[in-house]
Amino acid sequence: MASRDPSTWGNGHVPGIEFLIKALTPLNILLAVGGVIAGTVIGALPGLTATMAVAVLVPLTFGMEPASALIALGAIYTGAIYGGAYSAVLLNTPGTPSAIATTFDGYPMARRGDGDLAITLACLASVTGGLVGAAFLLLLAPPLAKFALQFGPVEYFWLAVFGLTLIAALSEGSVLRGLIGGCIGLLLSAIGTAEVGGDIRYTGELKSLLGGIDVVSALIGLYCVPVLMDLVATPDPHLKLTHEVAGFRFREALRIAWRSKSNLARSSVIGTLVGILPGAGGSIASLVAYAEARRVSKNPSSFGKGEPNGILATESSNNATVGGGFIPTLVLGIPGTPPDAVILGALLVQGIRTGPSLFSEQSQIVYTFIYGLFLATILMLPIGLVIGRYAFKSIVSIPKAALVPSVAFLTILGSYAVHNNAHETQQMVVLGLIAWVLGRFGFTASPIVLGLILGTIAESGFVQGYLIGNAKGSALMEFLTRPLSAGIIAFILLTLLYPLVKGRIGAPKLPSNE
Amino acid sequence: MNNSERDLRGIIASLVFAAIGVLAIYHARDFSPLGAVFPRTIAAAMIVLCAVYVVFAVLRPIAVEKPQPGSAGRRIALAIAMLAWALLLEPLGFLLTSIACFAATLVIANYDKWTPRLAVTYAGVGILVLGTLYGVFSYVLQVPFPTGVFL
Repeated sequence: MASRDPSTWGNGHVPGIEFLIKALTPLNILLAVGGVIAGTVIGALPGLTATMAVAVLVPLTFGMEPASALIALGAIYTGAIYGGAYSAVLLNTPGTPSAIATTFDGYPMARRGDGDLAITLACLASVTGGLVGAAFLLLLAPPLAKFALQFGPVEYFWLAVFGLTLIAALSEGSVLRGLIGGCIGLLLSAIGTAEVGGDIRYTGELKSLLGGIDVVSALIGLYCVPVLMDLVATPDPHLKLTHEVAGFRFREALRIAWRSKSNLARSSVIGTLVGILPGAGGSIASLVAYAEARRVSKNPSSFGKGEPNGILATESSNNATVGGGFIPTLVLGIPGTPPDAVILGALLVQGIRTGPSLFSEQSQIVYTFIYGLFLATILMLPIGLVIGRYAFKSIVSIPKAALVPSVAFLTILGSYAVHNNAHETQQMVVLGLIAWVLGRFGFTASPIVLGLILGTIAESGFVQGYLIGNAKGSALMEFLTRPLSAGIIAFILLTLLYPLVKGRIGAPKLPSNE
Repeated sequence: MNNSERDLRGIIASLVFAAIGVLAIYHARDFSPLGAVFPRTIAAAMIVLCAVYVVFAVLRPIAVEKPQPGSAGRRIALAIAMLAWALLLEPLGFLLTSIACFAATLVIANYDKWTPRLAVTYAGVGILVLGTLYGVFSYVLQVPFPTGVFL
């Protein structure tokens, strides 16, 4: 059968329809629905990541047929990535790290009364990104897996630097303040045991800091605690409600998404490509896609103030990492994202050996799963819209006196449950209070978070690249002359310099009376 | 600019961050060369950025955004409640601490006049939220919560 022959991949050949039919059994549909619902709910809770959602539910799949088990896990994974958008939009707290960039425009939209539209846009974008990622997985897995192997430490370093260029976009009022915030985040990422060299840095003799600052706990604290501090300060309602919550605002969202189809396509491809890079994941993908969407936009200053294109970029890219991440996982046996590592373990339990021969020797399982992933992603549209509407209605109608302690409990619960560690809960609260104080001094949380997340990748990439370059004779050449590095550097320069050039060249001449 | 003033808050924060940068460089002397290069570089960059910020803030007054107003007392009370929540988890146990701190934050966040009906309603909300989430995490997700001295 041609579809079982890996040599046909990448030639536009779509593996057989028989696998699609196998994916559409009642059991698989039920698993996809259940998986998406469970994943969405878990992903919506701050602190519970997609990795955790997959990890806690993976034992339930051990007794299933391999393809059905994979469909269930894929559905949980894709649902959890989408679910992270709810709390990002409604509470300014990313449910999962992948949804960090969703807070940038999602929460401002919710504050001005468009929270329901933001949730629907997030759903549409997540479905689009998920489908694009799954399509890449179906059609182009082997060449993309080879592309992932070209990424070395130097490329990861430049990718992190690319993410850091977003600081300029996230700096409300002052780029300098944003850059200082980014430095604070980078310094925070240096706390603990160094990944390269093993130095113990800035722990102040506290054993609880040896493992460094946990990113998920830090995210909860930095974003959520300041919101709570401001919520209790006034009797005003949490979110404005400018209209009756009657529908999904689906047509409006569809119109916006259609107008922004190039943004959706670009962000989905970025998400897929970043997803196939082992260890990069949805948070990096969404930051890179956001930076690109802002750079290309005709109105970049609207980003960070409730720009729908920001949500479309981040949510399509982070869900595209699901399909993208499965490419190295299935083709090479190297997990593309952390949840893929858990799924890889589940595959081993099922007796499935991943690798280049998987697609030919166990094509029935793989292709049934890929079509199942399409199914789960499509099902995410109705399920996500219904859950999203319920979540929005709940958050806007709950009295503040019930909302604040409930969210506070979730922050404590989520930060504790990451590693069952009370020290991380303490870190969360302390970082949150610091973030609130910094906010009073004009320093926002986003650049700090960016530095914290990208710091580890940047440092290990830099140090490893430096060592490799020195061994070859020139560290500088190692960083600047590798083709992929040069490509990323070009994008960095484009991102940084394009607004300046555009401002000089493209600035319209004002009529004299203006 | 009529609404412009010197960004005193920003200047103070920058000076604090510059001092943190100096401390970071000072402590980096104990690290190996590979372990020191990254924090040293970032700290140095932060000091330079802070210095530039202070110079700009002194020389060029800018329109300063006023922080969000509101009750300082409630904010401080919430900060204390959150800190207590995090610190007492292990000694008092997760459930007991959560019940107490949930109630405390509820009282802090409430602006309505307390009536028996309101108290019963919020008590019900508390039991529902705490019970459901604690049950799901403890029994379904098998998260081993600290039991403390009482439970």
